[in-house]
Formats: sequence, C-alpha cells, structure tokens
Amino acid sequence: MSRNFPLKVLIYTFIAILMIVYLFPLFYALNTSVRTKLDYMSNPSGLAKSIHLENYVEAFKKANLSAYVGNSIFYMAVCTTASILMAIFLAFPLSRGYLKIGGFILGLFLISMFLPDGTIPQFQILLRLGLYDTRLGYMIGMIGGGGTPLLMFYVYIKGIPRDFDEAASIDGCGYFKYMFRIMIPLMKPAIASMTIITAIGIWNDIIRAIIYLSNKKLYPITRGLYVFRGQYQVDMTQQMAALIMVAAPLIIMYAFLQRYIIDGVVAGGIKA
Amino acid sequence: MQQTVKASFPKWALLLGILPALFLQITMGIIPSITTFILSFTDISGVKGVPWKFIGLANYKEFFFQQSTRDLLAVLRNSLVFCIGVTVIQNLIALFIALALNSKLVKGRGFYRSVIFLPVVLGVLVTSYVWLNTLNPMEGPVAKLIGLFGLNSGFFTSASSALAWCIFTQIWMAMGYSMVINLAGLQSIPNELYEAGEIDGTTGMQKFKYITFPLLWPTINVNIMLAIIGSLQSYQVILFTTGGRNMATQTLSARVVFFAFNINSGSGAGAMRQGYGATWAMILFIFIFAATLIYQRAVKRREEIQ
Amino acid sequence: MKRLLAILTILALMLGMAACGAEPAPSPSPSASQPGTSSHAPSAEPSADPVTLKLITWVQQTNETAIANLNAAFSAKYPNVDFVVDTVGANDYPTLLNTRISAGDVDLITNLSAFDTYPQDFTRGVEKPAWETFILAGAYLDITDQPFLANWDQGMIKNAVSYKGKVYGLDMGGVAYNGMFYNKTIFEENGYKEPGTWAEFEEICNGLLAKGIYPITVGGADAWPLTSVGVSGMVGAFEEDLDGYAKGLWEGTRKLNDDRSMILWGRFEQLVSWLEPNVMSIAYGDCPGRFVTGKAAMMIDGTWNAGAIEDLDPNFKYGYFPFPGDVDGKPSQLQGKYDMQFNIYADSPNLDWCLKYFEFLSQKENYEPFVSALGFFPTMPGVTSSSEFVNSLADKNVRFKPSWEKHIIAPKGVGQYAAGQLFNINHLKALGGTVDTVKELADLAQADWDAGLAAAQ
Repeated sequence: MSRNFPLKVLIYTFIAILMIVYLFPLFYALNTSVRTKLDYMSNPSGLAKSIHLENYVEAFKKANLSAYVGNSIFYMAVCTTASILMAIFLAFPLSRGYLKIGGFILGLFLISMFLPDGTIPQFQILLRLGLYDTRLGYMIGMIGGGGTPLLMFYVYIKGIPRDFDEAASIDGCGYFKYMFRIMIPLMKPAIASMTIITAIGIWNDIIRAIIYLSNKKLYPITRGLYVFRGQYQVDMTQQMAALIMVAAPLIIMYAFLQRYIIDGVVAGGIKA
Repeated sequence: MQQTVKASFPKWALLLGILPALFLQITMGIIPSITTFILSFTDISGVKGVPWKFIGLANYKEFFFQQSTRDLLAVLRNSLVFCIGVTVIQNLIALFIALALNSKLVKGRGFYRSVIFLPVVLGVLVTSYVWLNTLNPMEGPVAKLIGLFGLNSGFFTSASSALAWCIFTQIWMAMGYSMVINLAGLQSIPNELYEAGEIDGTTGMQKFKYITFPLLWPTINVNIMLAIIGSLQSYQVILFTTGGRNMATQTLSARVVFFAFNINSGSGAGAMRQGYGATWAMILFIFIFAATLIYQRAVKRREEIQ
Repeated sequence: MKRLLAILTILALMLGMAACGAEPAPSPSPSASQPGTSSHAPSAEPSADPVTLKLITWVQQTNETAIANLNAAFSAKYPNVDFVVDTVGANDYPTLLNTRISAGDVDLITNLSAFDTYPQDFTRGVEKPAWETFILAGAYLDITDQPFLANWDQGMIKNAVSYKGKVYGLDMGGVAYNGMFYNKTIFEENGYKEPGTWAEFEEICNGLLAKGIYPITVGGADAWPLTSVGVSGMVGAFEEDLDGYAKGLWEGTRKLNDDRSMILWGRFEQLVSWLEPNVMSIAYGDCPGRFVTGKAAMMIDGTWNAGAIEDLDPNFKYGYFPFPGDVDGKPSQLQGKYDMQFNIYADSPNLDWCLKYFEFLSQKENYEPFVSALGFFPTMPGVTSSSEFVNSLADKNVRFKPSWEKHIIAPKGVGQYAAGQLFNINHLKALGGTVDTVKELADLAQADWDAGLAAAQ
C-alpha cells in the first residue's frame, strides 16, 4: 500500500468513466444490430435476446455495400499512395535545405490552414473542367502532399544522416533511384504510420463524396451508408448493421496496427 | 531559419519530385482559397449553365442587412460556443488523459489509448450515427438512465440541448488526436528532470507545476490552436446529427455548406447559391483570423507577465 | 526576410487573381439567356439501339413502385430501353437535382412540386425558386409543341408546368395534404366518427388522451411533415381566403398576432398537446409503422402516403379527413398541390427516347394505372383513379384549393420565427424549442416578419 494509492483510485475511476463513454455507444450499436426489428421496437434499450445476423445480410444487400466497397478500396489505395509519395518527395529537399525557395514552398503548404475555405471554388473548377462526378475529380480533391505527413517526414528525414545522400551521389546513383532504394526503406516507420492515418481519412470521407459525386457507380462506402440511412430510416437495426460493416475493415486493421499507429505518431511528435 | 545546403542531387530532379505536390497545392489549395474572396462578389450558382455576374457588395449587404440580425447573432454565438466548448473541454480532458495514460501507475495503458483513439478510425459519419442511436430520446439507453432520476431530454432534437450534444460528439470524436499529441509532448520531457526533482524532494503537484506543465505548454498551445481553427471550420457532426436546418445548432461553417451545397437542407431548398456561400466563407475566415489573433495575444500577455 | 517575401508573393498572386476576376463574367450561352426559344421538334421514331434512361426521384415507397411498374411497361413495349432509377431522401433531393443537372448525368427528372411557388405581385425580396433557376439554366426541355400535351388537363398545363408561355414538363396529379389519416378501428371502438368541427376534433383528441391513447403522430424529425402538412393544413382550414391572408400580412392589414390569428395559435397549442411525446425525433419513414401498430390514433400526412399504410398492413382500416376549421360553418375541404412533375433534361443524349416516354405516359391506358398506383387525383380528362382510397375522398374534394404553403412566401433572410409557413410551432418548448407560449411565439413571429419586410423594401 503506497502513498500513491489514492491517486491510483482517482486515475482508475477517471479511466473507467472514459472507457464507458467510449465503449458503450459502440457496444450499444453492436447490440442493436443483432436484434430483430420487433425485439428492438418493444424495448430499444434492452439487451439482445438472441443473436440475429439477418440484419447484416439484408443491409448489405439493400445498401448495395458490395458495389461501394470496391470503390472505397480503389480511392483509398490511389489517393493514399499518391499523397504519401508526394509528401516524401516534397519533404526530402525541404528538410535537407537543398532548395533556395524551400522555405517559401513550405510556407505555401502551411499557410493554407489560415486561408479562407476554398471548397466552393474547388467545386467550380472541377465542375467547369468536366471533372465533376468523375473518379478523377473526386480524387484530385483528396490527394495532396501537405498536412501531417509532410511535417512528419520533414522531421523524420532530418534524423537520417546526410552521408547517405553524398555516398549515393558519389556512386552516381540517380535521385529517384536513391529515393526508392535507400530513402524510402529508411523512412519505413514514419511512412507506415502516416499511410494508415491518411488511408483512414480517405476511407471516412463523406463531405467530398456528397459534393463531388452524383453517380451511384462511383460512390464510396460512406456515401452508401449515408444514402441507406436516408432511405430506410425505419429500421434502426439494419442501419446499425450497415454502419458496423462500413466501420469494420478499419476497426480490424486498427486492431492489428494500433500500437504502430499511436506509437508511430507519438514517436514522430517527440522528434518534432 | 532554413540554411540552403549544396544539393547532392541535380536540382531539376529535386524540383521534378516537388512539382506534382506543388502543382496540386497551388491549383487546388491556394488559388481556390483566394478565389473564394472573388466569388463572394458574384451571384454564381452551383449549377452549370446558369448565367452569373459580379454583383458588387450585394452579398455582403444581404448578409448584414437582409437577414434577421437576431438569427445572425445566434449563428455567431453558436460558432463561438462550439469553438470555446470544444477547445476548452477537449484540451482539459486530453491533458488529464495524457497524464493518466503516461503514468507508470497505470497498467494496460496501450489498450486505453487505442480505445480513445478509436473514434478517429470510425470517422464522422459513423460517429454521428452511433451517438444518434445512443441518444435516441424514444426509450434509448441514456434516455432510460436519466429517466430513473426523473429527467428527460430531447438530446439532439431539443433546441436547448442540441448544441451541447454536438459539442460532446465532436470532442468524443477528436479526443484521440489531442491525446496523442499530448503524449508525444510528455514523452519528450527528459526523465532526468523528474529524477533531479525527486532528489530535491518535489511532490507530485509541484512536479506538474514546475516541470511537466511548462515543458508541455508548447504542445498544449499547438493543440489549442488546432482545436480553435478545427472547431470553427468543422460542421460535419452538426450536419449529420441535427441537420442543416435546425437554427439552434447553426454555425458559420454549417451555413457555408447550407448555402453552397444544399446538403440536408430540406426538400424545399432553392438552387445552390455559391456566391452567397462564398460570402459566408469569407466571414468565417475573418472570424477564425480574429479568434486566433485574440488567443495569441492573450497567450503572449500571459507569458510576458510570467 | 523570407517570411516577408512569402507574404509579398501571396499578395501579388492575390492581386493577379483579382485582375483576372475583374474581366467581364462569361456571357451566358444563347440557350440559357433565352430559355426555350426553340421547342424541341416532335419526336421522330428513335433508333432501336439499346438505351439506358437515367431517372431520378426521391424516397417514397409508393412512388418508387409506381415508377418501376411504369418503366417496366415502357420496356415491355420498347425492349431496347431500360432504366436506372436513383433515389435519395426528400431532404437531400435538392442536392441530387442540382448535382445531376450540373453533371449532365440524367435523362428524366421528377420534381416534388409543380412551378407553382412563384412570387406574387405583392411580394418583394424573395428568393428565386429553384425551378426558375433550372429553366433559366436551360436544364428543362421545352415541350410546348409536342402533340401529346393535348391529352392533358389544360388547367394543369397552364398552372403547373408552364413558365412565360412555354411548357417544360408534365404533372402527374394532385395530392391533398391538409389533414390526417385516422385509425378506423380505434375510432369505432371509442364511438368517434370523422370530426366536422374543431369542437368535435377537440372532443376526440381529449377523449383519446384520457383513455391513454396518444391521439396524433407525425414525422417531426424531417421537419416538413409538421410544417408543410400540419401547419399548412391548419391555416388552410381556418382562413377562408388564403391569398387575402397572405396579402394582408405583406401589406400590414393582418398580423400574425392579431385577434383572429391568435384563435388559430390557440388551436396550434391544443394540437401540440395532442401529439405523441418526442414527436420531433420520429422520422417520417417511421410514422406509418407507428400508426398501423396503433401507437397513435391519427397521423398527420399527405394523401400520397396511403400506399405505405397498405403495404404495411393490407387489412388495416383507415380514413383521411382535413383539419376541421369551421370556416363559416362549412365542412373543411381538401387542399393540396400538384405533385410529382416530370421533366426532360434538355442536354440528354436520348431526347428522342425521353419524348417517347412522355408520349407513352400521355396515353390514357398507361397513365391510368400509374396515377392509380401513385394515389394522386388525375390530371388527365377522362381518367379515374382505381384507388379505393382516392375515390373515397370525393365528397371532401369538391372545392379543392392550393394549400397555405402555396400562397405564402417569406422575404429572403427573414428571422427563424417567421420563416416558411410563418406558424413555426417547432419553436414551442413542448416540441423541443425555446418559446414558452403561443402568445410569445406569435409576437416573435410578427416582429421577425416586420423586420423581414422592412429589409426587403
């Protein structure tokens, strides 16, 4: 029994409350999703008497999730790869200070947070270029080399000795070859955590999917969920089933990689 | 200040590598941001083929004089309440969480951290729907629970409580990021300082006051700035929980998408008024600018006093 | 130094942009500036190549089924044509409409209403309705010269689908929505019949409440079932001359808090007390289920939703009556609007097939089953609906008029208490709002209305 005991009780109480607030709604959604409609209607806050997976089958069919999941994977793969590559190739020369205008370029990326919201002109540009309601137009809006990955890589590259660059240039190794063969493998931990963070953001996008896409064939899975809710408000049990199916791929991925994500970001932050 | 170093690689190759990101940033980032200002003087709609023209200050006139002043003030007040509510509560709790989950007294820290980060993974749509389900006023679990104490609430459907629940949901969703940033800040504090403190016989509270907090302050400051700007720009939770129509939860950023994109605006909505939407976006920009400036001033004054 | 350089560069960029923007705005295309100067020629026989027509509509189960059957009949006659129908919830429909027209990704468009919300001669500073914007954008095909127009009720052609003398669509029929469905079994068990006066209505509702039965349900979460249907119906039942009331409010001879209006407010207060608890969290789609399972004895809704009730329980006994108003002792009559309008997207690559579709729709043998399935009042002479429910409304449909919603239009930017249909009872505390009494709400509404009118001058 140490002098830390009262403190410990306090901390654990705090954590217990947090865990309830964070886990209960998710548990409740899961509980709702496996109940029959009748069972739910009779007592919405009750526990499931038995587990029914029909809601999942029905919601999967009705919300047409099979058609959208492919789109989501495609958008996630293309946008994440493009964004991460852009951020790497941007961060490297800036972090090394190889370019005179490096500071200015970095400024261009940092300042946009403080500029007016550009969503409306973005929409007008894509509309007038004929890119509205196309995969390309939707993805252009989501690809970018800035944000957290840029800062993260900027910091991370500073920790990689410049000797590597010099050795490579003496050996006559070209820039792009050097980046792919040497630099990117060296940056693996930072790239891994940033890839996951970026991918999560793209998978969960809904506003752009509403603004830029109109054709069902192009919808990502989130838009499918949004439409499903508008169409079948009646059925909370199926809605929750659809919602869990939309979130499931990320939750599973997260379950395996969570240490990596959080520790990666924390570790990156420490260097900054 | 950045020092320019002689590059090991040809400049054209370096520039070629930067080009795609730079091109996108300028065409899809900087130019649209500035163009928002220009569009706010037009009556452009969101529909291709509709003629549009410059209309001078008409949008601003409409903003200031042709809408109910009380409703406008309500929108501004909601934005401010949302911003302050989210910023203060989120950062306070995030600080406690980070301290607790960095403490060696706690076992299973990794698990707790991942649970709190989980909503970031779920995203805004799933988060909103999960809470709508949990806070269902018709015999939902929370409604039942408070019913035991003789209370009842319309949660998201009641004008007096809707904004508070939007703030709550927003914090629930974004807490993970604040926590992670704080954890990073905490772990960058060298252990030797605490050890030195221990030798000097500092207590827990003194440790926090003289070591942890001052060294963590830059991190907290970043968190606060992110929360101020983020909460003023964020409308998604409001949109998906209370809809775009309910004036009780309207904020500046929600009004921007309401006018510009008609999202969830009700079946009687007109054509998208993107020129007027751009005007709201400019007002929002000024609002954010002022908020960050005021905050920075306040911080500076404090630091000078100390 | 570098920071200064960055700021200067951005400033220069901004000025450059401003200079670009100062150029004259792109002149509208000829078709846009003079909408419909040339009507599309009557259709020739279109090609027999496989064609997919894209049609958009909103979520309404009855409508969706009716459209699916209509499309199937069309495809049976023209096997090379098939359809893709996309639907979203009614609240998101304006977005879908805007975006599909922008994308040019649609052939056939349905609209929730006709071109009948036009600002009146005594209104000022009101927003242009969306349909006018779309006509000006050249989005709707001008069908003025099509021979099939002759098959339709010319009043509908003139009042519902024309703009400045040109015809842009076909309207599928009228609907009434100034009342509520009622559960005949509950009424019979308690010895009630359809109320003809407010006093009778009061007696029924208070009687049901006393027996522990919630009198009325409504889809408050979607807002419009309470405002467009409930409020519009109540005002329509109470004021004989709706146009006169609207004009009076615009010109200041009537007030939202004058003595006569206060009687109406008083009835609203009663109505609110008869609604199910937490009615503002009930989704529109959830309502028929609650009504059919007896959670409430009445459901405020439009006549269009009879199909949803029958889908849930084909044996359910129900009827529909308008809000009683006892205007001059006359029984209330149905009020409503022209519902579902069909338009052709003017830049559709399949115009010939779209016109063929309109022609098909204009034939009695195709329209009759369609309008029967929709549950609308037909807008084609010689057509009678086969819907038992629609026909049962005949005696309430003698003096059919447009509803209050179609008469009133508020100035742009008006305060929230005087927005929409002016009687915004959702602001009452009992419905989750912040205002305690109808008297306070009436005063707030009139103040907002006055301020809105002043700003519009």
